[in-house]
Amino acid sequence: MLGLLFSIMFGFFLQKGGATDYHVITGQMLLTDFTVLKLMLSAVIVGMIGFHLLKHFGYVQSHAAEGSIGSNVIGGLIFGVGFALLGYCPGTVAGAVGKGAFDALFSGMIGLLIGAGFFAEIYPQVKTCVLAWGKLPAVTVPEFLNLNLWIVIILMEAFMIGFLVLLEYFGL
Amino acid sequence: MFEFFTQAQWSPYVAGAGIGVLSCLAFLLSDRPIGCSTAFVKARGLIGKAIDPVRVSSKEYYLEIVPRVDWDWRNIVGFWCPVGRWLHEWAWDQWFDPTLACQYHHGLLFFCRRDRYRDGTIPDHRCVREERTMLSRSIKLQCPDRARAALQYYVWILSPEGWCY
Repeated sequence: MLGLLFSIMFGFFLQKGGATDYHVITGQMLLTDFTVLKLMLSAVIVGMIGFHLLKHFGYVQSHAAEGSIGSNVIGGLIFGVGFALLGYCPGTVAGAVGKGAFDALFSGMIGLLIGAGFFAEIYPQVKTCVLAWGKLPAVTVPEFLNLNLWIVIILMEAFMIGFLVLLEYFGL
Repeated sequence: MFEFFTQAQWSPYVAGAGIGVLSCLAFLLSDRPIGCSTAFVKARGLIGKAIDPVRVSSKEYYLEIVPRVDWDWRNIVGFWCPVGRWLHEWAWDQWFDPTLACQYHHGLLFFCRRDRYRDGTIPDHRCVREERTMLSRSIKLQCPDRARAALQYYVWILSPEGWCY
């Protein structure tokens, strides 16, 4: 039930932020509309401080995942092509279907299912090559860089807030 | 306060901050991040399983990502779920335009050559034809996005308000 409640709220915020709109997302891709970036960066700014404060007081644990340069770079490029062509990412496509966007329902959802099936099909072949290129350990960024956690947080927060201030300064 | 919720759009900063808080709550209360990409993979696995269970269960990928309805799945369902929809419609009443849905409904009725109104009266045929042309024109004019009008109409006929019509 909790999951359902969270996801309804997630969908609600995405919708209110305008991120389920095709034009807003393609506007971001064309660098004419920075709504999506503003939404994502504010989520990270608030989420990062909140999560690390909760973690500091022992209420939550982090779940660093293993990764590899191969899977992240190649996967990211494929994701970007799909994102730009369709105008939705997996989260916003579901929100757009809820809003009543037919393009998200027919192209987006069906395309995602086909793509997921294709990946499951080729998984045994790519597992040993592409997905294994440049393996990264399951550690967080501060652990990886061997820096103090709070220094990294302050630097990243300052960078993100500074970026948003610059966006507003240039009227984007 | 209520006006804030009925705004069609919020500042992306406010909505983003909301997602940030939500993400913390998700970690705090259920030790999981929010997201829904994996759900599509699992959904695909479930569809495959329904068609050919042997083939899917033999796939290495589905041994690692087990296709089942779980947390990730609920995220997608949550986006679709009628409660979310109603919550959103309540907040964003501009989405649904009763006049438009009604016009679409009448347009359909005339298009299907239903010669009798709901109250039993039989309309004048010549008038019906003119009215039909007029209605289809007004639907085209008022709603260039006819798919949306149609969807609004179907949502509307499924709602209690539509039943009572």
